[in-house]
Amino acid sequence: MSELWREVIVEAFRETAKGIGVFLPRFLLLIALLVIGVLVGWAIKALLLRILRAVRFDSISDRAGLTSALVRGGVKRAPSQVLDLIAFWVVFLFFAFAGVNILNLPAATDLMSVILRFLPHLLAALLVLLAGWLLANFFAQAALIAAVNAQFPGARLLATTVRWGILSLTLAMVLTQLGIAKEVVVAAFSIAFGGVVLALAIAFGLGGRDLAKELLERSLQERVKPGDEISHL
Amino acid sequence: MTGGKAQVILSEAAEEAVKRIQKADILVGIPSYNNAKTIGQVVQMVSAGLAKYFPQARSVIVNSDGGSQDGTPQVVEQVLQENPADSFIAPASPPIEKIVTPYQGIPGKGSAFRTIFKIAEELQVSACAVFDADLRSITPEWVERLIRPVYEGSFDYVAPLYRRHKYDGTITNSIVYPLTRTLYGKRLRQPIGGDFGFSGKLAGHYLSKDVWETDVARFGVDIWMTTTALAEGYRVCQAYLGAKVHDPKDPGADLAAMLMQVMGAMFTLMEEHQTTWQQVRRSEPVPTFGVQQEVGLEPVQVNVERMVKALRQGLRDLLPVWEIILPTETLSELLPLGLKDLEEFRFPPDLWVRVIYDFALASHERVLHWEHLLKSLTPLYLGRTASFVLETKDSTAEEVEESIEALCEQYEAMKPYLVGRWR
Repeated sequence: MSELWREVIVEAFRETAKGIGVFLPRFLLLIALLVIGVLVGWAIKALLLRILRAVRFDSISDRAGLTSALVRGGVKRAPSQVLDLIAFWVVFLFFAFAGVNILNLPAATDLMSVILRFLPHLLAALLVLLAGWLLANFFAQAALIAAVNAQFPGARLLATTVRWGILSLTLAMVLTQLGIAKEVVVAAFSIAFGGVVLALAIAFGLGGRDLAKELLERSLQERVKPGDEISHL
Repeated sequence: MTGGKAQVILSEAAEEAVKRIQKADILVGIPSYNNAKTIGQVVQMVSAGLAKYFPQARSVIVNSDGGSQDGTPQVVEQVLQENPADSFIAPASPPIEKIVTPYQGIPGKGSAFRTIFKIAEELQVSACAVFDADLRSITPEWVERLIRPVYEGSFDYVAPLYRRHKYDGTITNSIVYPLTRTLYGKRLRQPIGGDFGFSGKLAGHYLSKDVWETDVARFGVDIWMTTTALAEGYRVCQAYLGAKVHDPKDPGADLAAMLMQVMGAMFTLMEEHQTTWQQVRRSEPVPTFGVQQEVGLEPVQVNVERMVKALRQGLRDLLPVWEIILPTETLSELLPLGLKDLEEFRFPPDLWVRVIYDFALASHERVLHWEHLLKSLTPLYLGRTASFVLETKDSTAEEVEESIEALCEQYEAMKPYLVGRWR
């Protein structure tokens, strides 16, 4: 009996040692890849920063309105630094994924393949989100300035409506891209958008009849008032 | 300003006319677009002016039209066939030649001018003048005033000097004149008057510039011509023309768009000539021809209340945009303006100058989308205009001119603020 126990224990230790023997080099390789990932990431980051500075990427971004859009979105870093950071993380994650694959753990491998399949969708969604956010800021600002110049009393409300209109459309597109409750998102967006338009139509058509009349009258009176004869040029 | 340098292609008829005429001494250009109602009189006055004051010169009138739908070129042809200058022409004088041609390129006054410059270059003229086609107050003397300093003098550029109502030309009075004078050092009172005289040499120089695919071709050609002449050292002067009355502009014309066009052109030219204007320390008067005459001007109605309301709304709603453009010190001085009663409302000149310089710096640093930046100046401009009207409501024309002079001095005194921050 004791012989049997001994064999079992020895076998268990042998298997464990074998397992550790197989796992440890792979784990060390993972660590090494992570370290290399950090180093290569830093190197690419430094190189990219030099290139971006050489081509005056920040001043180009200023001119294109990207810097102010980032500031408005709460990002305090310069556009070149943001791009630099993204480059670092892309490189690091590439090495990290490779490292996890080397471990050859079934769960990790499955997870990796799911992540890799999902990655293009995630990138596309991020791009849509970035474009939508920039467009929302741009058009909200344009609407605000135009409405103030036209002396429209609800200028800020108009700008906010434009911003959130574009942002909600963007959000619906992002969720669709990510495949999260696709049908529900499309249906919810259509219902919400249609509902808002219908509500506005009813509100202005019925509830705001008197207000619309008053606004039109006031606007016409303003036009009749003197003040349009000044020649600015 | 840069752009594509496409070859100017004159219409076949224009090419033939140029070949036939071969050489001329004086050219008068009239750019037009749907000006059938007024262009006839402009052509008559120009013909009379050329015949009366330059009878021995070989002269050409060029109408450069932008595809008018109301028969403008036909009116020009008809008027020219009637030979309106006959009564002035001495028997031995050469006849006045005519070229009526559509222009090529981007629709706009600048493209019309380009065709005129091209014909001037081909005909090797000594002196040119251009007149707006919607003028109602043009006389034969205008031709003489704008051409003689170039034709018989040594000047390259003659700017007009109109007698205007004290509230007319507020963008010119509060921004364009003081800023041009401060930047380039010459006191040209009407830098964007619309009617100019210039030498054939300068016409050729304008033509050689690579700007005809840019906004210069559309609008902003007036300030571009004036600034180019000033910044590149051409000899400039100005000539009294009397009152300027033109066809009423579209009442729905968008002030923000107008301001954007003028300020956009000025700020772009500041980039191009930065080394020149940074070295200019003070301004000097330019030679002025003709005699200033008192002319009756119709009163102008101004709704000050609406202008002040525009500024107040700007201070309430546009703050997030102005915070990007203006430094905190400027903003903190602007904010109390929104609290003042109408009668007490004043927009101090020094604050206004700082606002303009801050906008120029913001445009230089591209802190905001360019169109947004330029258009967001509108409520501030209306506030300053309201203040100017209130300050000068009981003033005579001379007193108003003194107040504009004081504003110019303020611009000049504060120029180090602009130069010091321009990187």
